Amino acid sequence: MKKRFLAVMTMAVMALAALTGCGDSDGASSAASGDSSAQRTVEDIKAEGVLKVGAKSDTINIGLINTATGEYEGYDVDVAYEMAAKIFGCTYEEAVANHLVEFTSVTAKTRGGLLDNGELDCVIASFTVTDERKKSWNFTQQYRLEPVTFLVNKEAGVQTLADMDGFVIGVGQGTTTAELIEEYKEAKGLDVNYEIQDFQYISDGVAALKTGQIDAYSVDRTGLFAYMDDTTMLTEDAFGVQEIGIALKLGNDELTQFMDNALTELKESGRLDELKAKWGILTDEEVRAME
Amino acid sequence: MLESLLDPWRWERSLQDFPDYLEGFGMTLRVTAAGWLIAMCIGILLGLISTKQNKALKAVSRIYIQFFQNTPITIQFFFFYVGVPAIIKQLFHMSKAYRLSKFVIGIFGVGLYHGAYIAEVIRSGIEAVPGGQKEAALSQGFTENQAMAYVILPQTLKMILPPLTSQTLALLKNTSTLAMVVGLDLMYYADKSVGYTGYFQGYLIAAAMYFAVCFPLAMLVKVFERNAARNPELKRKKKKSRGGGLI
Amino acid sequence: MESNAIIRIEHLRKRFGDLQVLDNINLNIKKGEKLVILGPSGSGKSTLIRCINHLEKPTSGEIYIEGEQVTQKNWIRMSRDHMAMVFQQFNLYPHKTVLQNLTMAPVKLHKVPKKEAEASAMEYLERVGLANKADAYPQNLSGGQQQRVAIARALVTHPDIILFDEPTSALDPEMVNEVLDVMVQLSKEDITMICVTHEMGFARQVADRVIFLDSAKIVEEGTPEEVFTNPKSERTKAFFSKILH
Repeated sequence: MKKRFLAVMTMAVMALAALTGCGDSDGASSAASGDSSAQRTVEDIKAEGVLKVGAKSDTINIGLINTATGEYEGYDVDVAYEMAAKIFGCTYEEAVANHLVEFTSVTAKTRGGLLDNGELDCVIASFTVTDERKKSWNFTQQYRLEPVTFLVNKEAGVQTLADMDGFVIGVGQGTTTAELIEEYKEAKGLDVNYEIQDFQYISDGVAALKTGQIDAYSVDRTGLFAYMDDTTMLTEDAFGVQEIGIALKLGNDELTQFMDNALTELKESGRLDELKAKWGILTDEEVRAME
Repeated sequence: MLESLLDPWRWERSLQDFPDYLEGFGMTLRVTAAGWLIAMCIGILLGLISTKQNKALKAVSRIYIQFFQNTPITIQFFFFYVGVPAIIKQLFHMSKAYRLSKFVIGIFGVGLYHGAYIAEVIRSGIEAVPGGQKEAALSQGFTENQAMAYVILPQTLKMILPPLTSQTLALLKNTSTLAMVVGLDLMYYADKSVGYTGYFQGYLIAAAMYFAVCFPLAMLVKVFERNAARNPELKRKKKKSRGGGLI
Repeated sequence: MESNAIIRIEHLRKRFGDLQVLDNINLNIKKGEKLVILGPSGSGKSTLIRCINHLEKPTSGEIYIEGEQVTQKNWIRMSRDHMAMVFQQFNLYPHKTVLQNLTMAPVKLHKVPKKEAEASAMEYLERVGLANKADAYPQNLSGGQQQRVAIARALVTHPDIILFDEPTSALDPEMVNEVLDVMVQLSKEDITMICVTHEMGFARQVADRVIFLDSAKIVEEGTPEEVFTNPKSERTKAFFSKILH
């Protein structure tokens, strides 16, 4: 509730700021952002001493606030520290220790606006790259491949989408999952009818599943995996592999290119797979094999 | 930021979801209408009970009103979404989870909540009529119920129309809480669209649609307020002919 | 004596919490009698008159109208069939016109056809001199006019008994007489009038009997002449010396 309220308020404030032509009053970034169309460069970020990243705060193993320490944790969070390490020319450990990343919790509804108005340098938060989205934001190459699958109650006794006729399927609000399920169904020639319902938070969706208000919840495998317990299971389905990329403000090609290069290096050095292993994320090869 | 707000593509993309918005708008209006009926039934019943002498009934009505006024409507919605189906499942020993339709959740969510407020509007309206009015009616031989129907309520009605309409307006806006429990209403589809595109335009479209129905209601409140303050003699002048003949 | 009493009050007591407002009141009122109840404020005179039609419920004791006891069950019917009341604050129905104020009870309660009720109402308005205000709303009338309408409203149901509860106390001084004039006119008919008032001149002019209430009891009773010129109790003397210069 509170998060939703904040999200809506943020949007409203941003809209107001835009209409009144009110810019960022923070002196540190005023050199670059006096005009909202100005793009932040690697040098700007270095000068300010911190990389501003939009991250997930509710997804185990991807981006989650550790309530004990108040720190963000997860694979996407580590990718953000690696980006900071490249920008500031230090190690991952130093980037963590020196708090070189300033995280802001984002949802599907807030992430775009926060990029647009220059609040964030980039969003590293399960942001799937699509052609439509490329019209509005810059994206790097993928740093994570995610197949989609379903979380269901064990007692329902279903194995694949083929068994889900008449199901109510929950998906994450703002995700491409609904389209991916439809494509998957077409590709397999399945004759199943289902109803899609959107949930803002994965935790709400899983709660609805467990109380029987929906029959299945579908989102990327890593997200679901963390919520699996004694009464629930993942189905055999693995489809609609999504490319998760880092999103930046439209037209900020310099920073996009820099991060894209950084990702290439991380892939080549094997560092990215190391992080995937740390957080229980499937490697690109494993994902391709499942499909 | 301004350019992203004016960006024709973002408007175009957001408007592509307009059929969804219309569907949600239909749900919002249906929930508003049916929820309002429930709220009025509860409000009139409890409002009348609150002015009666029966202590037990009065206590029930006070507890109800205090409970619904002093807990957030969102929790009440979640209760209908999760709690009530669980209770029904238990009561009837069902093997599968019971589901209430979003429409039913919606009308009871806003109906029970605003019923508490409308009860207070009606109670205070009745209490605002001087006690002498009831005494005059009773002394003429009208029963309590006749006094209520012929003397108290007609005077109450004029007074309570403005706050009653305000409640209707609030009820309409509160149907958007339904979105929190996947309500398939206008707010849900706006959330869905903005969540997918990330374009604020979706909320502006939804706001315009809410405004289109709320603004006339707000104007109606003003008309009723002016009417309540106005001298009935003035209203009367227009159709003077009938009475004139008698003098 | 008892056979022609239209109202019989026996051992009437009324308490408000710890406050004894009426203490063992016994009173017979004859058909057509004009009774004026006097007394200092707080003496219980308004409560007494309100007990007669049960707007106040007696704590104990009995009230009989035409030999039939007024009870918790029948008091509304007894009011409808026998009585009417005129209040200090007029209590006209503000959402109704003057004419509608008069026709409401006859039409709704006594099943008089509307036309007939209106014609009859106009007659009574004529009698109180306000026929030209039939279509006005109460708030557009002066206090005196409102009280005259209230008297007409009381009469239109042809009550046997009319109760006046300080009918002139809320009026500006210049309006008192127009109301008293109507009441004096009314006193010439054989209707039973019971009137709580401070208007001594009125009492002297119309009352067959005056009772004086003090501290919840009837302390003086007699013709106006007896009570005003030769009061028996000290309290009554003190009261009159204050009120009659």
